[in-house]
Amino acid sequence: MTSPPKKIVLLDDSDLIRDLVRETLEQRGYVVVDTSSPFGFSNLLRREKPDLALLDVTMPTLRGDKLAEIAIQHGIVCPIVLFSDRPADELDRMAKSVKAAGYICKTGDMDEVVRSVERFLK
Amino acid sequence: MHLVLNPSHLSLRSKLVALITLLISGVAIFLILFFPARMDAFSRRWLERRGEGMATVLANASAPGLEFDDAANVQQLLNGLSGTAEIVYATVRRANGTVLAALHPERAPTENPPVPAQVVTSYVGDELRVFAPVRARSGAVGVLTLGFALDELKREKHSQDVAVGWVSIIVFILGLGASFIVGTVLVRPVRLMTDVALRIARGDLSQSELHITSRDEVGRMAEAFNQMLRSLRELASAAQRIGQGDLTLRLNMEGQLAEAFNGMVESQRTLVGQIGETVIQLGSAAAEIYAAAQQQEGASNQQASGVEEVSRTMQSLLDSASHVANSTKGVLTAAERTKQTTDATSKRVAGLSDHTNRIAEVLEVIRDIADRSDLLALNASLEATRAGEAGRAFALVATEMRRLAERVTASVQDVKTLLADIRAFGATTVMAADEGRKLADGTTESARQITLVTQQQRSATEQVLQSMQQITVILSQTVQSVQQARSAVQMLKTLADQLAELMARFRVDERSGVKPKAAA
Repeated sequence: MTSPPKKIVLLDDSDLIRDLVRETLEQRGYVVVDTSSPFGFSNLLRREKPDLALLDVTMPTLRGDKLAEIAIQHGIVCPIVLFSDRPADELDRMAKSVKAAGYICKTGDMDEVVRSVERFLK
Repeated sequence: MHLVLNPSHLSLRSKLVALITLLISGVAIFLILFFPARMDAFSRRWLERRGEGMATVLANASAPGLEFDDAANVQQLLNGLSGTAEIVYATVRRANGTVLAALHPERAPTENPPVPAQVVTSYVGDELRVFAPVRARSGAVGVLTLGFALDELKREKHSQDVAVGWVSIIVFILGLGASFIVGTVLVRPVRLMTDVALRIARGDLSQSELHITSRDEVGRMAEAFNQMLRSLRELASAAQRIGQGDLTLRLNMEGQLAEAFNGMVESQRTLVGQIGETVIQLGSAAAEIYAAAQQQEGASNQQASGVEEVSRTMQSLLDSASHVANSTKGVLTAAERTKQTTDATSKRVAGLSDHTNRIAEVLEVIRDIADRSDLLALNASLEATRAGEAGRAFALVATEMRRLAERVTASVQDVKTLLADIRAFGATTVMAADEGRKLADGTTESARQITLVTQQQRSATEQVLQSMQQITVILSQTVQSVQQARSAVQMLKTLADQLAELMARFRVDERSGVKPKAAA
């Protein structure tokens, strides 16, 4: 790989999912910066300048779609992808309403997740 | 007094005038003191030489007269001097002191002077005396004395002094005027510059540049002044642009001030850039916290309504419990009454049994009577049969009586059977009553237990309700806190937005200002 590795920011309140996704993506050669707190997400994106941000939707303190909306309103240009186990049509609606780059359904199939990430990075 | 004397308090013109006055005064004093003195000395010396020359000529001319003691000749010689106004007197004396010849001898001194070796002059009072030796060829000697008056010389000197005085005064006045004019001319541009400098010092840069065309020091100073004014104007306009928020400019000037200015703008630019960055971060952080507070507020409200629902359920449960308690109380009362009724029934059934026994006794008496009546009727019938015809009617009555007795016996039997039935019914009733009593006892027990359980349930429900009320209070406090937090964060967010707007007034790069917020 001649180009530098792509950087992905991952926000999820579940330690289990965070570890799983991080390990999977790191095995594929991505640099993953993960966090569990929705606070400071925009500033994290501003600081890290990732190529993609994966954002959980259902979180007790602040919902991911709202967070994505705030980040996009505050001038974040990095593509933000909603990453949730909610139904696909609901996620699609959410992503469109907050002008996010799209959504990825959380399934047990990590290969599917990686394929979706690659699609968004193209 | 010392203010007047202190030179640092005097104006430049005053200093110039004072200096020139001092110089001219010095020259005048020199003219008045030195020049007349020199002239005096010079004219005295001239008079002395003249006197010496005249004395030498006269001594040589009167030598033959002295040799031959020819007084008339010498007198004639001396008389030739009378045309000369300044000669006061003239005498020629012999060596022994006797006067050979004299002009105005009354004015001459009477003492006899010694014969000098050469011509000698001396001043006595207002006259110059010249003594010259007169030497004849024969060796005889005498003294020629000439007296010159100094009046003329003094008059000359006085008029000269007066002239010098006038010249000095004129020079003094002219010098004073000239120095005043020169001072004024020299000082005017300096004054002009001072006025401009004072206005600049007050912050007024609007005045026009100085138009001083001379190429001397003052002209160069004015040019330097104009340059300074231009630099200050450039600095002021730069400061104005900075004041309007433009931090992109750079002064194209050299020197410490420009460097400091550029350094200030540079550090301000850096600072504003950093503040802008911080404002952006603050804005998004505030927005995130605000959204979280909103979400928490919604969740708290939901919780509050959930708790309210639970409270309502608990209240209805409590109502049901009290309803159950009331019902149980009714059941308990009913069971008690049932028991009492059953007891009464048992007692009555027992009483009935006594009555049936007595009825049975009465029945025995009745049967006995019936049996005896039957026996009596049989006997009567036998007796009637024996009586024959007479007893026939009697035999009919006896038969009827026997029939009656038999019917009584049969009825007694029926009643006995009925009594047995009643007894049997009574026993069944007693048993049923006993069973009912037992059932009532069970019902009472159950009702008591239900009451107990209901009371326990009720107190438990009351406790739950109380807890729910406490939870409601706590939740409402929580909701209030979250609301307060949300409004505080909202204020923070508004402040961050306002700060961002303010920061947008600054231009830190060539393209645009600080843009802390993409969305309006």
